[in-house]
Amino acid sequence: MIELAAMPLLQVTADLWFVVRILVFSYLLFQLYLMFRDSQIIFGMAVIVSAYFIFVHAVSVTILMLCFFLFVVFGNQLQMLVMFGLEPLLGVFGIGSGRFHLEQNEFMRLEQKVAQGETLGASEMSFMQQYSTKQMRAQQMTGQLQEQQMRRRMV
Amino acid sequence: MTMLFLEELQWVWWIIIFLMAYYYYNWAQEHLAFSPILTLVVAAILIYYLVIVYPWAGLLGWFISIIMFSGLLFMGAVFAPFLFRAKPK
Repeated sequence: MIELAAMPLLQVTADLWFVVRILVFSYLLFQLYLMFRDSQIIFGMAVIVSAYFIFVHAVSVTILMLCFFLFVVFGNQLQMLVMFGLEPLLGVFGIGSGRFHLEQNEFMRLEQKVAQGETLGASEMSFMQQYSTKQMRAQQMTGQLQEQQMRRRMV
Repeated sequence: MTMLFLEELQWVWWIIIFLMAYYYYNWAQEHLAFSPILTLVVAAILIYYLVIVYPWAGLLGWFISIIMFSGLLFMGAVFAPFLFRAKPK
């Protein structure tokens, strides 16, 4: 702890960062030796290239590796987080495809209520009517679009 | 009595320092076994920085590497179901 107080913090960080680079380079050398032990020339060139990347572009390489792990290795997890975590949350505020799910769920719940023989309140009734009219309009729009497309194909 | 304890602690500290140096030398030897010169160079760098200049960092790294690579965490996972078992009703 005395050393930490006496040394400037930047110097400590730089020294330990250098040690980390040495460790990473050692691990990499071991792997390269396993891969290229049959060909000394390829091993030497790979050592030079990897040393260049580790000791000159360490920060960029680290960021690139992190991006690789985030988007390629954990890409499916990320997609699930967006689809099942973020989109429903945004749907509450009317953003994205999740905005349809809330009223759809509400409609299904009320439909079930009706099927069980319970009576609906005034606001629930008006919601049902609004939602059904919206659905019908959407279906009509879809039908019109389909008709138009059919006509275009006929012509 | 206290002084005696501190003096003994000094001895313990020197033993820890020696073990740390040996650990890092051994690490270099294991990972760079194909080149004795490279082993010496890397071991010298590691011992200079992690044992002589910043022994606290070397000690921290030593403990972390023991926790990560010794299998302690696997053992924890093995015994966790027995330690944190749900109480029978």
